[in-house]
Amino acid sequence: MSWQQIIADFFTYGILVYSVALLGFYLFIAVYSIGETRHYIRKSSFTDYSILAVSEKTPSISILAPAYNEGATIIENVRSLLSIHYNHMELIVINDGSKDDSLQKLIDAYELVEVPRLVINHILTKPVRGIYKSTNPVYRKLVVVDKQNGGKADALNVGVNVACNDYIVCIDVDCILEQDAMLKLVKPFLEEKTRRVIATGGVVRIANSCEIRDGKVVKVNLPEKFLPRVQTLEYIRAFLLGRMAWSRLNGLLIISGAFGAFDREIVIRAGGYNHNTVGEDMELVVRMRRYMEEQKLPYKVAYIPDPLCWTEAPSTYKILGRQRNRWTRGTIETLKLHKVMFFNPKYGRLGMISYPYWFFFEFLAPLIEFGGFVALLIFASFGLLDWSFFFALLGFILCFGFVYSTFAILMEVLTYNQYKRHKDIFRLMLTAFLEPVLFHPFVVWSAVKGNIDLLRNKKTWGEMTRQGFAGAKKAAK
Amino acid sequence: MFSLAKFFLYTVGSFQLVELMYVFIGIIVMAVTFIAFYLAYRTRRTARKKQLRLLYSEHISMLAICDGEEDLQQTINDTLSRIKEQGLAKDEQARGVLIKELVTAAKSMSGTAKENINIFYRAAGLDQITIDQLKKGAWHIKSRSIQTLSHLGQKQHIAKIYRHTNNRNELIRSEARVAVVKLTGFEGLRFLDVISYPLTEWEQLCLVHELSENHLPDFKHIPDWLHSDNDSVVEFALRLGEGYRIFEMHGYVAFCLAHRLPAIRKKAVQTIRAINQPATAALLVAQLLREEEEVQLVVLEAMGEAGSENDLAVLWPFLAHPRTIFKIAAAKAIRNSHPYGMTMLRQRVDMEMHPWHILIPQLEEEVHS
Repeated sequence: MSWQQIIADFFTYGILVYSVALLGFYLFIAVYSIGETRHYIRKSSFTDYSILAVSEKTPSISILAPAYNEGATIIENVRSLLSIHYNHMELIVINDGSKDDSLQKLIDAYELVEVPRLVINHILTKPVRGIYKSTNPVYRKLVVVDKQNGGKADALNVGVNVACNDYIVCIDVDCILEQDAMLKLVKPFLEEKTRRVIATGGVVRIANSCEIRDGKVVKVNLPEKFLPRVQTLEYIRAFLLGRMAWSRLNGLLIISGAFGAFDREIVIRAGGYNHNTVGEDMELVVRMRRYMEEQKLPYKVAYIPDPLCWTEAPSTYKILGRQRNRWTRGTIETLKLHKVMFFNPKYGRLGMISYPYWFFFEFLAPLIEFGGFVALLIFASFGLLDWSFFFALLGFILCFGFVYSTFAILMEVLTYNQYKRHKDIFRLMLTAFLEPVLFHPFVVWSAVKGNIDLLRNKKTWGEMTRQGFAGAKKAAK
Repeated sequence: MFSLAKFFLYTVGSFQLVELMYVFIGIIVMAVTFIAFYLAYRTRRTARKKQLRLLYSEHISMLAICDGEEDLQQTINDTLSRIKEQGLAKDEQARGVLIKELVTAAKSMSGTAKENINIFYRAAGLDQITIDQLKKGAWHIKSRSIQTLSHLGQKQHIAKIYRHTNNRNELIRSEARVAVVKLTGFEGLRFLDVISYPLTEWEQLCLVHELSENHLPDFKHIPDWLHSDNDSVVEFALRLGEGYRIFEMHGYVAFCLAHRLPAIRKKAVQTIRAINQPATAALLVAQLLREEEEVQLVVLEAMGEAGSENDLAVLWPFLAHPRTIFKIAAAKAIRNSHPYGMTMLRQRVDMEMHPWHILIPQLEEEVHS
């Protein structure tokens, strides 16, 4: 056997094993998530969350909302957050050195005055310029922190330092929360006695085309545009199947930066958010887990399938590309920072399953897929391709993907059924059919570009222009 | 690529790729068909439920306003015969909706109206259906049955519920514990004498919530619970002491200050702060001197409320503690322990130095606000 043959066989069989493992994992995730979601829904059917809303003994939470140049919508967004159903909470809005008039608008609207406040630097951050509280008792829950610009992670770390309560909830200020979101998010922290719940996350849904009034989603609609709609399908797959299965395995590595709750003490002990990565949400969860594993403390990262948070998805390829590019860089940076855990039995399930899964199937998958496409072009141009087999394999993969999406839609219908019109469900099915052609290649290409940008040492978030729920345009960097 | 093709086809064996594709397409067609039928079924079911709810809400309103035994009996008979006439008596879905509606009504009512609902539930034999579900159902059905019985005040089934207070399934036992307290108040807490599984924070919140609803407190068992081998029972007893300000517990709580678990000692400090007595300050001082840092902080916070000017000597050294959080807690305790605490603080610390240049104005501002 020639060395060329050995190399060719190595790659051929390697990719085969990889593909089979990937499809196997997808099947496992789909099946394994069912039990967790079913258990949660059954449990919720007789849970009275109102006890948490009325009880004097509920745990106190600090909501951290970093804001940068959000002047166009900040007043409405803060008002919406202040109206959340939860007794013992403080809302900390961190103005991350905005260049617009965000701070002045907040001062005027909420009758804020600067107060002397000693901030303990549990985590090192950029300097705090001032802390503001309202003179109006109606807004007593609101604390506004003005600080030098340092990025989202730095702003969140300031929030962690300023927070007075045991639990922190990190949210994007432009997200829309369900009224009972906090009650549902906090409950998992109260349910464990033998292990410590260090973080909880809830499902994030896409709000494009939904009817929004006074900062609340009043009618859920399937997005009209293709790109937000395909992301709706993608989120259903990721949250309802992926994260629920990983939650059941206690192997979750990510809680969405848009909405998640954390045990403040563990956040501080783990060192807070890392401001040297663009994937600070994932990195924090990984570091907190790593800390607990190294300290040999029993712990859990919980996830609940309730749709608690609504966000606006990118509706143009340009913005979507930047978002996926950043997600890719964030994933690689996190994996690199914690490479010591890779197949390291000392870290248990985290090192032996979760980390390798993310390495092989989240980081490597787009690169292998892209490599496969290049190989396809080369083999095709040299006439080395067995076209009948190629089409059979392509059909097989496309069908598998479509079955997976169909299963996710089925789960959605059987559980939360947010899109009640029959037409919407069939539009989702059609979207699943078009996804491999109009969406997936672009996502793969954005991930490849993310890898290239990381090699070039690019550290920026990229401009994320959003329409805003009120229709106003705003930019966040 | 040829070798891949051969290998793949060989591995797949008789199920060739194209055939697998057909299988997938079959699955998709089945799933789509199922979704279509399911959506249609759900729409129909939702519409029927809505109709039933409307019908039952009328009956329930009539039952709620009944005055006197005779009137109630007559209305129950009329309602039952109407349900029978409409063919709903043996309809499982209709029965489920009726029970749910009764529970919803009972939750929002009180007094005679609520009692009438409870009597109707029994008279219609629905309690037996719930008991059957409690015996045979899966965990979530059992839990819901327990909840139904408690919401509808079915005290006669208390023994059946009570036996689940130490059930292996955490959700069943949690519902059973809350239910016995809902039905019998403080007396129901006797399960605390025997339970082997811990009470979670959530359960404790639910129990306190139930106890706060018009139940006359009975504290005679609390000293026993404070000595329980089950640490969560001790924690809950302390919580009760704190919540109800049971001053008689002072001596027993002081005993818990020496508990092996820091979490229990913290809770004991919070409780003793709530039931502040002349001996409290001395206990807190002694605790402060022997505690580990984690609990010391809670003691310092408690001294802000329960401490006195005689305890300042023990607080001053904490102003030089290496951790700022201790400086803040000690300064707050000093400010609150003495009428001139703030003035004394200003004299003791260097106002130009960190953290005092911010902390002192902050403490003053807190007093004013």
